[in-house]
Amino acid sequence: MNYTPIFDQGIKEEDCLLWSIKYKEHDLCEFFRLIKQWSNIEFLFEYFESHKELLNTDYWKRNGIMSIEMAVKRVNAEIASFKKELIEANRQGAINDEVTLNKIFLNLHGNVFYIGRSTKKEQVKAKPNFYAPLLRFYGLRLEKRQILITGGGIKLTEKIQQTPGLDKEIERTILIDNILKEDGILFLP
Amino acid sequence: MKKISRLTASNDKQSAWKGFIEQLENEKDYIDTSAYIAFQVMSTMRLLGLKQKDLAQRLDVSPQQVSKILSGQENLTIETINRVKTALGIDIDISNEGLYKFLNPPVIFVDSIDNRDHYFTIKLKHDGKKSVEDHVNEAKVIIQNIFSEGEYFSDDYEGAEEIEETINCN
Repeated sequence: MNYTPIFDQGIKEEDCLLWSIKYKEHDLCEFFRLIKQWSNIEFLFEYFESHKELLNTDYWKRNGIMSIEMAVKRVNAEIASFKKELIEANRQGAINDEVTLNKIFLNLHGNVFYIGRSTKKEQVKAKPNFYAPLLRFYGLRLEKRQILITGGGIKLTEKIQQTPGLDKEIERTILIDNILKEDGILFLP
Repeated sequence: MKKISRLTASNDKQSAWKGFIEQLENEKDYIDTSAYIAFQVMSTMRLLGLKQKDLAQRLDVSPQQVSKILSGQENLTIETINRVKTALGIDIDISNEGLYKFLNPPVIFVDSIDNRDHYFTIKLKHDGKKSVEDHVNEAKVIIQNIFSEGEYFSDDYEGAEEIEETINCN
């Protein structure tokens, strides 16, 4: 496992606001790996097909997801929009900016971040297409401004801890939190 | 107290962001269309019960090649699209209108479900980007595909136009 600076172009590494863990078993760090995975239509169909019983709940019906196709469309729309935001922020030279970071990584609670859209009504009004985001990044806030992505996944259940795999993501984030403490890295609890 | 940058591998100094953002810039003109095509192909394969290897056989290409098409991340040629259309016996939509709908799935909020009769009452919110008719038609297709009966009401969605539509699903 090592730490990869993400928004590192043209700046000192220590000024980089977004970091990601890279695990030995993957070629890419979690940030790039998850974006690639969530952009893969075949993966999304297979993922939702293998968990279709978890989609067939009142929670998803209430949020307009009533089929595997709809879930795939929603995730694709979220990730496509996220990538466009990254391109735009990069063009404006504002990618490694605290405001941008807090805009694109919304802190849901604790160590859970989601991308793109708030569920707050006043913000939903402005961009109404994503009411219940399915994509989740897990991360830790380092010092006051930096975020370290530790993993992520696709939310399948109303309570995120019930989604297969995401429970392990939470455990892993806590483990990394402890490792960072042992390494003496500053972080915000 | 340490900075996280002290923990990075010293030999790994090449900017990953540069390569990533260049790739996003390069693919931005085709990536949405490729995803839309992959979506239509995957939906058809599910409907027909076809596996990746079945499509590979029909196209006479390797499963890896099919995987690239289905990933929705390849810049597909017209020839490849036509071959897939022929192999599956379908028409593949690449219109701007279809793409827009794919990238902007309808928003339907449902409060409660009632299975007493064979009518759906959809009360959905109009986001102003699509016509009301488009919203209603998409909602009809989704719900008719999934349920045979039920009654649906929207969640509160401040500031949006409400549409109420009853669909007979008998």
